[in-house]
Amino acid sequence: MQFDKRKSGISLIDDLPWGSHFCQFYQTRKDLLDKLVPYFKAGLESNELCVWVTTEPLSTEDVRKALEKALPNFENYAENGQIEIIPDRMWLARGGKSGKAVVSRVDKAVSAGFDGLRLACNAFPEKEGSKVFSCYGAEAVGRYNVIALFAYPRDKFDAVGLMEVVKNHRFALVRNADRWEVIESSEARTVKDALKRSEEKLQSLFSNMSEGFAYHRVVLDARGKPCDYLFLEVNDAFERLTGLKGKDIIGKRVTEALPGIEKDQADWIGKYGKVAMTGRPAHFESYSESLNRWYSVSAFSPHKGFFAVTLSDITERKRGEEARKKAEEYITTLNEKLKRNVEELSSANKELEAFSYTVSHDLRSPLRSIDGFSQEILEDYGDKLDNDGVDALRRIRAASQRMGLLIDGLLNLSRLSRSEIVRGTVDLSLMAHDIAADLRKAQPGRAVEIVIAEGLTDEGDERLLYVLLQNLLGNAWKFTGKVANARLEFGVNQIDGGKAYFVRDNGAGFDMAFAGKLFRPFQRLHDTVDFSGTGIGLATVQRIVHRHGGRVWAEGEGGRGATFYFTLK
Amino acid sequence: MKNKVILLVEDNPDDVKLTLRALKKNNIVNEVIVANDGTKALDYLFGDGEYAGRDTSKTPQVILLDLNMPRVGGIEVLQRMRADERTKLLPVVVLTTSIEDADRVESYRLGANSYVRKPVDFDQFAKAVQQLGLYWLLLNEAP
Repeated sequence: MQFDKRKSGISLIDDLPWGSHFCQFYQTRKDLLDKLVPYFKAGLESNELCVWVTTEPLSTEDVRKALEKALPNFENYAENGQIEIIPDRMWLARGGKSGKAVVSRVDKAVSAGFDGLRLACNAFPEKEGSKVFSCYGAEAVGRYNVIALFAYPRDKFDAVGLMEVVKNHRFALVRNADRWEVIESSEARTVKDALKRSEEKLQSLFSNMSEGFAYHRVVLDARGKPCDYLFLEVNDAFERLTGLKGKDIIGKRVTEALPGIEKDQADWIGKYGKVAMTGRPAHFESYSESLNRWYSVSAFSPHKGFFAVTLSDITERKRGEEARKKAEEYITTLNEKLKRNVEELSSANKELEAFSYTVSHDLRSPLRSIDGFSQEILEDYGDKLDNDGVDALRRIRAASQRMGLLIDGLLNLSRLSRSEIVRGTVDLSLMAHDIAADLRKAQPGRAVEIVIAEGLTDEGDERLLYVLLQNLLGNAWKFTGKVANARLEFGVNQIDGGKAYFVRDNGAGFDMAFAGKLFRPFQRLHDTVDFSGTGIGLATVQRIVHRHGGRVWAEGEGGRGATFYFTLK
Repeated sequence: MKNKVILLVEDNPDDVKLTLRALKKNNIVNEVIVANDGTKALDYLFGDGEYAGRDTSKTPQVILLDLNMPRVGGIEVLQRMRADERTKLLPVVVLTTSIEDADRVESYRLGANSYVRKPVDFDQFAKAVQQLGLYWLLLNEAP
């Protein structure tokens, strides 16, 4: 993968992955400078911490001068602490043999914000005077972001010894006459090819995987705390999922690519920094404020100071969850509102009950006095009154009795609204027959044709539906009182795909212009003289129909009868 | 029968007058004791207060009891009567303006013998009183 490749700086060698170490055979100072100067030049220019362990015949001074010559801005690198030139004795004294020196430089590289460590060092004889040389620290190289070149003194090896060294390295740089050559061990080549194939596979996986993948290096602040991170490599899916283009962000800090990310609630820099510095992988789901999307993220650290993330976009799922949560909250609010409304309604109902009680008791009592004492005057003092006086008292009595009826009507109406509906199957035809029989019994002298459709049953409150039919049939009976061939009909029609019951008569009828007023309490379209009544009957009918979730309406014509329709739910 | 009294518990003087008139009109000449609130009614029944020392074994033939009265209401009077051995079985006719279901149900639950709603129309009222008198004073055998 590209993000793992470093420029070697040496023309004979390709880019190298982190963890590589190779060797060079030298004879002269020039041999060393020839290869090591461009090697470190590339390292310095690629943001790597460079450590050059010098050995005879090179002094630290020689090295410094050579680098100054090759790099015009060498001083800047030196001031930044990006290069350390250290004599081999000191290197060994500080743990060069055990690999401790390498690890401490790796830590320094990470905390100073470098991509990794580039090392050049001599191979040392295992014992004083021994012919067996070792590149000390090479095991540490393989575990971290390190590239290392180990220099072997050519003259200390015979052909067999030389081949032995070459075999242990991926490749070796050897000067043959005036030309440098790369000797690659066949073993190493096989491994390299296999590695290349596996890398190719990995590369293909990397580009084609549906999860976004990105590789980063953390940037630490003065106190060594992660404060930013750099994009080193991203795959196609990452570009697609974030909308960030690799060419725009590679090598850039995230605070540049996504300004404001340091203030994001999800604390991306903090979370990733922890992964990179502790090496403990993390998995989390977070919302990115700058990208306005939700991601499921796995982060791990292949090397200290570096981290890789795989991410998938879970915005749709999260939004779905949010929408559901919102809907649930909304329903909860509605329920609470409903509960409050019900409570208010029930308290209003209680007030109404108290009011009805007052009306029933306090308004009727004085009426009884008015009527009763008027009667007393009529009985005890009737002989002292003239006809007008008697008539006036009779009117007083009639009016107070009528008011008593109105109050009773009003109370019944309010009771209809308050009483609980008890639903059951009701035989409306049977009910109509009962009511008709009662009507005939009350006025046996009238000849009225009553037609009732048979077998009409429906769901509803038996008591309320009885009151409803009683009112409608009673009205029809009453308003046909002055026609010759009085006829009442109760039946059902199909209207708008539902059952609409009707009560029809050929009586007094009404003017359709007043149809809207019919169902209002105390609205009467006929004189009390012509037809008695309180004006509460149709209001009662309407209330009963509404309590059943139905509709009621009327059709009529003055003098040509009326039809009242109602539906039940 | 004539020496049996009727106890009328009624706070409204109009209603008292009208009830007495209705009784008279129907030739019911029994003595009528009027208690214009619940306390007085209980005093009469149990021989307390202004009726201290009254022979409480002489019980009314029937009690006509209004419900809505200040201080001690009809429901409480009924309750206290039914809780006491001396008045437990006395016939009580609730005579009220109220048509509230709750009042009716409560009255019967507490042991009222009848529940009659006072009609506005005096003729009807007189008729009701006549029927009550006929039943409770003539037909009904006291316990």
